[in-house]
Amino acid sequence: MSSENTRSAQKVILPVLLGIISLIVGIWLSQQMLSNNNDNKIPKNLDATVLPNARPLTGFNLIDHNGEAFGPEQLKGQWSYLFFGFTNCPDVCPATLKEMQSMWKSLPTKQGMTGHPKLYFVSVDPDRDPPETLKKYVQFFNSEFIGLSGHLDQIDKLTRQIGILYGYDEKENNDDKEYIVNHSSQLILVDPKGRMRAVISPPHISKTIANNFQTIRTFYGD
Amino acid sequence: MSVSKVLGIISFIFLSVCSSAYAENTIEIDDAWSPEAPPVVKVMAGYMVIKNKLNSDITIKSASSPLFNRVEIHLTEMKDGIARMVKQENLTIKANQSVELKPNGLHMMLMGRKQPISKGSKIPVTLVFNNNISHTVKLSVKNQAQDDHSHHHHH
Repeated sequence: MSSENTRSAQKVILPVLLGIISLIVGIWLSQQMLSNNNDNKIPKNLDATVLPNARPLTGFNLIDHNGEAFGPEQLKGQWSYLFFGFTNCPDVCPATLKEMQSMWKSLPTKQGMTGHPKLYFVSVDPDRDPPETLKKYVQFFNSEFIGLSGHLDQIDKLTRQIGILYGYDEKENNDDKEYIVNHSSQLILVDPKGRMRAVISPPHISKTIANNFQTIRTFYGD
Repeated sequence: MSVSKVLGIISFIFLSVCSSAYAENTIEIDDAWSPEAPPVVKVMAGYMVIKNKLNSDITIKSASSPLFNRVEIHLTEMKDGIARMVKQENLTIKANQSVELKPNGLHMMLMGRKQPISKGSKIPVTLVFNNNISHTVKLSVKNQAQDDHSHHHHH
């Protein structure tokens, strides 16, 4: 081939090669930015453990405090907090629900608005916490809060996926209605796709939880 | 009435007055409160600061309230994120020290509420110590603790 032809070939090949390389780099960069699963880009410095990979919650069948079926589908469409406890809990559960009530009051959103979260209080003590009791209990703290209950094997399906533990202290006798239930006291944040997104360990402080919620919500979107 | 009976009555009154005055100088309980709880449950919590002004340790032997079936003291222990309630059979307050009962920590567990208790009311609780001194405290039923710090500090 003559040198002239080589040079004109180079004039075409180089730009084309550069074009292809930039295209590949461009696609890769935009994938990085758009991807929801960036380990190096999850919100940091929060008083919450954000899971790099949101964990889908599946296969549980509970009922809400109105007696309606509550399963994985009901966790979709909005952000949700899950808290596990029991109504005969004198200290941790009321203290946490009071903090969440304060947090609710400080939210910029209201019920029905995009981005407004839900709070579900899941009872790990179905013997003493039928739906009617749960409803009266949670609504004492906030009329928007929802109680969930069900058979222990269904509750276990949910707690096991999340890593929540609970157990009953020894009853004084068969008729003991005042037994104590020990339980994990983390707050679990679930995203609008019904996936576990963050774990908030105690102490639960409403301002911190509210700020963290806004950060996480802004980062992942509604 | 015989002289001995009168003397007996006078001594009794004298001793009672002495022992309650004595109690005031040995144990001081401040900021006693109970968070208003959902009426649907019969258990409530009690929080307070117990000051031991003696030069020796004291121990709470028992607690009771006319408004509840039983009163126990528990400690909420957080271990690996699990809240466990550990009953304190004998809560000791060291000499010249205070012990604080507060949310997510030591607390009184008032069980078997006998009648409705609303915000603004007071729950009497009697603590009996190992030196047989008893001290009755009135828990103010309210929404949150911050009300307390601006209020009374009885001596």
